[in-house]
Amino acid sequence: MKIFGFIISASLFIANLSFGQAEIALHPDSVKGKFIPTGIRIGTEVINIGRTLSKSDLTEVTFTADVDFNRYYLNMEFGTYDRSFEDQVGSLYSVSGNYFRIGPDINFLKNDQDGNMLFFGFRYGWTSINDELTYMNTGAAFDNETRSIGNNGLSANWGEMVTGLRVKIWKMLWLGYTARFRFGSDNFEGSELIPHYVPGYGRADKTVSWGLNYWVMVRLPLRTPPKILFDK
Amino acid sequence: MMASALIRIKLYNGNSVYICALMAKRSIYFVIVLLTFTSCQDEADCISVTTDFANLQFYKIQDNELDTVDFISLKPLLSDSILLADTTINGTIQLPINPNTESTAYAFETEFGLDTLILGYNTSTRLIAEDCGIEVIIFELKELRNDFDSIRIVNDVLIEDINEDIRIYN
Repeated sequence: MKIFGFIISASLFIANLSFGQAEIALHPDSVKGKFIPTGIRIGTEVINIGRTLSKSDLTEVTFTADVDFNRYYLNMEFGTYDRSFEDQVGSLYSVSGNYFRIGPDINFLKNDQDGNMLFFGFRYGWTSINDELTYMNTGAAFDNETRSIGNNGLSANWGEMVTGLRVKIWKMLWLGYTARFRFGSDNFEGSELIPHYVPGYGRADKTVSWGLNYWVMVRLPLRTPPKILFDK
Repeated sequence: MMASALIRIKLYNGNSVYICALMAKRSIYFVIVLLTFTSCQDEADCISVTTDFANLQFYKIQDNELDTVDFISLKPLLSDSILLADTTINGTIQLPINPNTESTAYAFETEFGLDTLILGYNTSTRLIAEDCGIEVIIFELKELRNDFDSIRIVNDVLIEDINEDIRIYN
């Protein structure tokens, strides 16, 4: 009886071993070709487009592009911002500028077959600023006077820590968002006109700020990605 | 089949968790809608701590005590305003600063005679917020010319909470 039980156990063990061996993935020991990009993803920010369409005084468009190097990505964003408005007391303010951000991302979903991303990264941001303020000075002892002051060719730079998602929706179509923690921008103290808004950064009086972008993207394949082998 | 429907997240401690790819895709819609309503730009508070008045006090040069001065008149030049007329002051005088220029001149007619004071400064202007209007910051206050015995700028950035910017010694 004991011998019969041993034979059954041994058979099951051997069967399990052979079955298990069939599922073990053998990973190549070479990194050759591993860091060659497999595709470029380009896209645009959707909330900015919505705000541009809904507000007559605002034009903001932002584009993004990223390229993969295995689980690492190089991300670039470029945007243009233009807004003019009148405040509650009749001052006119206009600001425009072009900005870019560049930096690396690391994807924490490294075995995802679609290449979906849950990422963390850094950005360096730079923008040009051209702004103008026209206002009425209402001093107590002096005649009221309309003044117009501005900055032309001013620039600012800052750093960002970013995190977000990129999800393949259908074929080449991707959606995603980026959450940003921005820091290190100049506050322009001492300028004749202190900018109210820094394109690509936000309010100029904030030394740190948060931001969110929502992207619609298209991924253009450059080569067939190597097949991902799942660990057992 | 199962492998393509799952996204594997490898944790730092070596363990793995799987999330459904379909669920992740649907979640992103939810997150996008949710965050759209929470991502509006916050506006600044309408608080300005700056002022366009310089606070001046007279001191006795002998003992550094506050002085009492009889004024016949005090007025800024290039202005129709008269700040003081036929009065006695033992405290702070608020001198209005013209934010449209880089200097403001004042004519003092007191018991000591006719004196002139010219103050120089720089200005920075900013829009506080869309609902708040502008703020003019007057800084690097300095005296460009005076006829008094002695004058000292004790604060060169004009802020509401500071009640003494200039000391004049007679």
